Amino acid sequence: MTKKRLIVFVLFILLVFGLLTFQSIKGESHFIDFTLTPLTIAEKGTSAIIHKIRNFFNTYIIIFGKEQQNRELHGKIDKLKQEKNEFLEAGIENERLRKILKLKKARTDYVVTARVFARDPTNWFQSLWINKGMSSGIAKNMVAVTTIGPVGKVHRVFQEGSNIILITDINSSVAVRLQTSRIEGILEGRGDNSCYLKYISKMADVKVGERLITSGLDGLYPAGLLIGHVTSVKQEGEEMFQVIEVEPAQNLNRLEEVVILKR
Amino acid sequence: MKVFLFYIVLAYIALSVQATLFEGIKPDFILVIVCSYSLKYGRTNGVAYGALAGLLIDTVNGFLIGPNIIAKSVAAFFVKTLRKNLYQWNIFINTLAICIFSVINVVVVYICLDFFSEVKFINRSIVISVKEVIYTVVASLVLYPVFNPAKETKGI
Repeated sequence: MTKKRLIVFVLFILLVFGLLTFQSIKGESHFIDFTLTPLTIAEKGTSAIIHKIRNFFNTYIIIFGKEQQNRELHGKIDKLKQEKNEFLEAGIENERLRKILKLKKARTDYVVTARVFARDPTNWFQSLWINKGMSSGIAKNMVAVTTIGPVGKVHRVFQEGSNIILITDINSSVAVRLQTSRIEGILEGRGDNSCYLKYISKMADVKVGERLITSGLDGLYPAGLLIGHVTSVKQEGEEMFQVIEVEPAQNLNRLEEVVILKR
Repeated sequence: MKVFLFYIVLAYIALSVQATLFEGIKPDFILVIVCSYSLKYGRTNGVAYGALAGLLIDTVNGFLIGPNIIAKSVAAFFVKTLRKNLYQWNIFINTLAICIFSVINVVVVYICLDFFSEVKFINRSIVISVKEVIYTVVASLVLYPVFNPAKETKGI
């Protein structure tokens, strides 16, 4: 019985390997699109619920603990605190949206502003899910930016949602330029929260802290956007190029809205 | 069947939590749930559940269908085999098993992505995977009282 089960299991694994081979020959599977559409709709709902629960824990649960100590007085104070927090949150959101509006007016390649509702659930890819898709004019390889700088490019587009590959993803590469020395290189993601600046000759003088901007030579990202700064420079043995680590200009794990630009 | 569907919903919730609450490195809650399910409800059910949970992850990844189906069903199959060859099962053995299967999970996904897709791993730091394994082990310790697999249940 166990042997039979093992054979069935091995056959199943072989079947999946067959599926993998088919995908590697045929390219991207449309099955993903077929299964992802209902998932993204459900994910938006779940994301909203999780955020609501988190807010509840951040406000009511803490407030409830305090009420037990001094119900009458603290109840009033906590209600005021909650109101203040709501105003503060509204103010921050207002400020963020005002900056986005300014960006919208300044750029001719503006497509749409979208809200981030989820990140990649695994550690293999650095990506974001946004709540706008084809219906809002988004297409593959369009660029996502914030008021600070570039975020990534559109990888998959659905009717009402899109997947953005971040600049820190291992599949991402951006043509960049060091702002003061004007040296050009390629910025590649490391799969965590940082990047490598590649193909910089050992002869080039690169300083820690130097800012990087997009060069626009990849025909994807608009030129002149601040993308990060150099955090470490190493020259290792026989290597032709320097090993340069770059920290993005913004925390890509805490994005709430992004602006989509045309190529 | 009800239990199976409940666990599918649970896998979906775990995936949503990983996608929304965690910044940076995330633990693999689904691996913990798959192992627990396989230990509780048997190898065949475990493999079926692991395959479906893996399909869910691969779909959300949006790159390649298969790596997580293999990784999770392998974990479900062998964790039960391990259980059958051991006299007892406790929190220490469970933690050790999760650690081993978490490493296997990382290796299987890496091999599949490397062979069957155009994903380049040249820049990827090994620290990411090491941290993932550690976080998953911690998650298994935290979730042990909830998904206590010590009690075997027959049928779903």
